[in-house]
Amino acid sequence: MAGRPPIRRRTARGRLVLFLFGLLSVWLGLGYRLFEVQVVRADEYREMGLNQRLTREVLAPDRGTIFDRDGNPLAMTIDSQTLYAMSDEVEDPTFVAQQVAAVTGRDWRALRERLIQGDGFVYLARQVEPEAAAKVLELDLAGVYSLEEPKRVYPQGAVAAHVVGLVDVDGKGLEGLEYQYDEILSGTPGEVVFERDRRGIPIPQGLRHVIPPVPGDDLVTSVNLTIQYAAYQACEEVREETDARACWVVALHAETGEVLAMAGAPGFDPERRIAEDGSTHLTNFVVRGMYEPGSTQKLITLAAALDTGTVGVDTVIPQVSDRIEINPGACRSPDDDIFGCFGDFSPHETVDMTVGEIFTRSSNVGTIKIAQRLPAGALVDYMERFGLGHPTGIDYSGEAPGLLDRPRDPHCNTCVPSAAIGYAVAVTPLQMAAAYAAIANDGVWTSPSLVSSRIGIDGKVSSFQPQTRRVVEPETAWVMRQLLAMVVSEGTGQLASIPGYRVGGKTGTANKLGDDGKYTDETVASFVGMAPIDDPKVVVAVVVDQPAYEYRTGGRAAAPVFADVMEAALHALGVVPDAVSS
Amino acid sequence: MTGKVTSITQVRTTARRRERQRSVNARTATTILVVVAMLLVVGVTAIISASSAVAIVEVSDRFYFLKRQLVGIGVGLAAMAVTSSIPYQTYRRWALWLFWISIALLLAVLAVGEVVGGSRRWLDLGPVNFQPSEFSKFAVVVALAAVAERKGRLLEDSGHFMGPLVLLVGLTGLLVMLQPDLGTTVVIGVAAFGVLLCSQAPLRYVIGSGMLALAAGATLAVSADYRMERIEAFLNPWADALGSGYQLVQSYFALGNGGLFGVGLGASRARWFYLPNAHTDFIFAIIGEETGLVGGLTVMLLFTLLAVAGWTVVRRAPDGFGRMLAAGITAWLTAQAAINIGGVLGVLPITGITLPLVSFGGTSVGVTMAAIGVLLNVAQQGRTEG
Repeated sequence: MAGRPPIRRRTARGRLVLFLFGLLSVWLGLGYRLFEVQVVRADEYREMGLNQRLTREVLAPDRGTIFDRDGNPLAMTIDSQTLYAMSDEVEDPTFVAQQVAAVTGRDWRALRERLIQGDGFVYLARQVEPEAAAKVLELDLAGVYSLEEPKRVYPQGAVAAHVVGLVDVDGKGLEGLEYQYDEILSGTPGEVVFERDRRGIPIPQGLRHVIPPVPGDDLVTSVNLTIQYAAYQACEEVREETDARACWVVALHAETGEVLAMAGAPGFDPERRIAEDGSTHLTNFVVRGMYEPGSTQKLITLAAALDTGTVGVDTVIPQVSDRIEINPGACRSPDDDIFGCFGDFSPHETVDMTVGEIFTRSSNVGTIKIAQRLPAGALVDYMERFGLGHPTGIDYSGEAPGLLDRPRDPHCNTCVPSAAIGYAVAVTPLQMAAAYAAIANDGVWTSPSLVSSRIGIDGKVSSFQPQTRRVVEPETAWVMRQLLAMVVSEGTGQLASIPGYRVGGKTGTANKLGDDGKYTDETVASFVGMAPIDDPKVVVAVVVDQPAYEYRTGGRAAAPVFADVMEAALHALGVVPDAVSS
Repeated sequence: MTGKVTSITQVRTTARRRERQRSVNARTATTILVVVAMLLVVGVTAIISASSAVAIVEVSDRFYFLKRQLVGIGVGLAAMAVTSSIPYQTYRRWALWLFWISIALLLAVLAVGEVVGGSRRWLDLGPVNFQPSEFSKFAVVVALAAVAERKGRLLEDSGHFMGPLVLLVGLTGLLVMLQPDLGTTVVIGVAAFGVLLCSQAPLRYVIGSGMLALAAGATLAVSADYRMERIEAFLNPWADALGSGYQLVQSYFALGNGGLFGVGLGASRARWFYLPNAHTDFIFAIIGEETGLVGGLTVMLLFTLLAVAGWTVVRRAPDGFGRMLAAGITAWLTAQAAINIGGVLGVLPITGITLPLVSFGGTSVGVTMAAIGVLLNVAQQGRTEG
C-alpha cells in the first residue's frame, strides 16, 4: 500500500513528459516543413506561381487616317463593339438569337444556328455601334459579352472606294491604299504584360509592364474630293445613259503628276466589301485594267514624228484614202485587220491632207503613213518614253505594265502600223493620262502619285518625290497642244468643250477583240485631254467600256464625261478662265 | 509553545506557498491570454487581406468577412469571460447533459442541416449559422473527463475503459463522420487521447486505443472516393495540379512567394481567387505569403506557447478532472492547429478544418474561446505538485 503512490506519481510524471514531448515535436516538425516550403523550394514555387499569373495582351495600335488633299477623311477608324457569346453558357439559343437580331439587324436564324453549332466562342455581331452593343448587354443575356473592336469606316463610301480600297474585318489592308500602305497605316502593336487574377483581371499590386502601341501614320493623298465626287458622279451617269459596262476616270495634276481623282463605276461599298452590281469585283481598272487605246495613241505617234523632225505640222501627206494595205491584197481577205488592212472610221474621198488635219480628223490611214516615215523602232521607242509598256510607278498595288510586245516583234510587219493607231498594244487609263500629262507639262513626263505625304505620330510630315524625265522638246509639246485644242474646237472631240476655257484632247474608239480573236462592234470609247490648253493644269482620261451602239465613239460617250470632270476640276482648283472670244 | 511556534512557521510557509502559486497561476493565465489575443490579431489582419477580393465579388463589401469575424470574436470574448469565471468543477454535474445536447445537435444537423460543399455541417439559425461539431469537441472532452474521473482506477479494467470510450467518442465520431467531417472526427479523437493520457487508465490501453483509432481513421479515409482523392492529391499534388491537387499547389505557390520575409500585408497574390478557402482553411498560406517564414514561424510559436501553457495547466491542476479537462482542451487546440497547418504544408491530407482563433468562422472562434475560458479557470486553481 505504502509503495503505490510514488509509483503512480512517477507514472503520471512520465505521461506528462510524454504529453509535452508530443506537443513540442508536432510544432518542431511543422516548423521544419515550413522552412522547406518557404526557403528551400521557395524560388521554384514563386516562379511557378508568377508564370501562372502573368499574361500578355496585345495592344492594337490605331490605324492611320487617309485624308484627301484638303484634310477630309477618306478612311478612318472609329470605336465599335463586337458582340460574342460563349455558347456553352447560353441557355436559350433561340431567345438570345432573336434578341440580338432585333437590336443589330442580323438574321436570327443564322445566329441561332451558330449558337447551336458553336463550341465556345461565337461571334454574334462584329463591329456594331457602341449604343447597340450596350442595348444588347442591358438585356443581361447569359453567356453574351462584348469586346472593343475598332471599325474602319469610309465617310465617302463608294465615291473614293477605288482610291482608298478596303480592309478586311480584322483591319488588315486588302486593296487600294489600305493595302499599299498597310504597314505604315497599321503602326506597331504594343503589349502589356501583367499579373492577372483567376478571372483574368489585373491584380492591383501586381506586376505591370506596358509597351504602348505606336499608332499608324496618317496619309494625305493628293485627291481633291470635289473632283473625285464629280468623276464618280459623271461615271455613274454615263453608265446609266449609255448602258456601258463600266466607266473609269483619272484626273492628274499636269505639273506634279498627282492624282486629283480616280474613280470608276460600278463602284463598291468599302465597308460592306461588295460591289454596287452585287459582284465581288472590286478592282481598280484605272491602274490595273489594260485596253487597246485606239486613236488616243495617235498623240504619241504624231509627237514622235514631230519631235524627230520627220514631218512638220503643215507637211502635206499626199493621197490619203480611206483604206491602206500593209500586205498586198490584205483588204480582200476576210480577216483584213489582221493581215494589214486598215480603214478610217468613216469612208471619204482620197485627198491630200496636212499632218495637222490628219490628227484633228483622226485619220487612221494618214497616221499610218506618217508612222511609216519614222525611222525603224522610233515609234516603240517614243511609246516607251511616254511611259507605255511599264508600270508608271504609282503608289498603288498591282499596277499593270501594259503590253508593247507586238510592235517590238521584228517579224510582225503589221504591228507597228497597228500600234501607230492604238491597236496591238495594251495600256492602262493611267498610262494614257500620264502620257498626255507629259504634253501638258511641256514635254516632261512625271510619275503619277496618290499619297503626297505621311504624318507621323510626332507630327512629322514626310513627302514623296515623283520621278520625272523629258520625253519630247517643249516645242513639240506646244504644237501638240494646239492640235489637241483643234480636235475639241472643230474635230471629233467637240463635246469635250467647256465654256470659258480652251480645252484640248483626243478621242479614242477602239473595237474590242471578241473571244474568237476577231474584232467586234463593241468598243472601248475614250477621251484624254487637258485644260487650259495654253498652260494646262489638269489632265483627265476617261474610258467607257462597251457603251450602247449609238454612243460607241469616244467623242459621244467619253468626251461629255471629260467635260464634266474637267469643269469641276478647273473650278475646284480656281483656274482662271481663258479670255475666249467666240 | 514549540507547537505554536511551529504552527506560525507553517502558516507563514503556507501563505508564502499560496503567494507563489498565485503568481505562477497568474503568469500562466496571462501567457494564455496574450497568446490568444495575438492569434486573434493575426487572424483578423489575415482575414482582411485574404477575404477582401472574394467579399467584393460576392457581397460587394470588402469588409464583410471581417465584420462577421469581429462579431464572432465579440461573442467569444463574452463566452470566455463566462467560462473562465465558472469553477470548472461545476461541469462534473453537467457533463452528461452537455454530451447529450451535443448528440442532439449533431442529430439535428443531420436532419435539417445546410449542405455546403458536399457535407452537412451547419444549422441555419436565422441571422447566424451554427456548427454543432465545434461544440461537440468541448462536450466530448468534458464528458470523457468526468466519466474517467468517476471511474478512477476502474479504468484498469478493459470493459470499464472501452465502455465510455465507445459511447462518448465513438457515437460522437460516428455522427460527425455522417456529415461527413473526418477532420473534426480526428480532432475529437486526439482530444479524447489527451484526456485518457492523463486518466488513470493503463498506458497500453490508451496507446492501444489510439492505434486502433488511427487504423479506423485510415480505413475511413480510403473508404470514400472523395477522401481517397484527397489522399492522392496529398501524396502527389502535381499529378493533377489543376484538379484534385490544385488547392495544395496554390498553397505552395503562396508560401513560396512569401519566402523569408513575405510580400507585405495586403499584397498576397493567392487571395485573388487562386487559393480556394483563403480566408478559412488556408489562411495560414496567406499569412505565410504576406509575412514570410518569419510570420509563419511566429504563428507556430504562438501555438507552441499555447501548448506549453496548456501543459503547465495540466501539470498544476488541483484534481484529476481539472487535469483531464485541461489535457483534452490542449490536445484539441494543438491537434486542430497542427492538422490545419499540416494540410496547408502538404504533410497531412487536407481535411477542411479551421486554424483555431485565426481562420474565419464564428462558431469556431466562439467555441474555441469558450474552451480557453475553461482552461483559464483550471489555470487559476493550479497548485504546486505534491
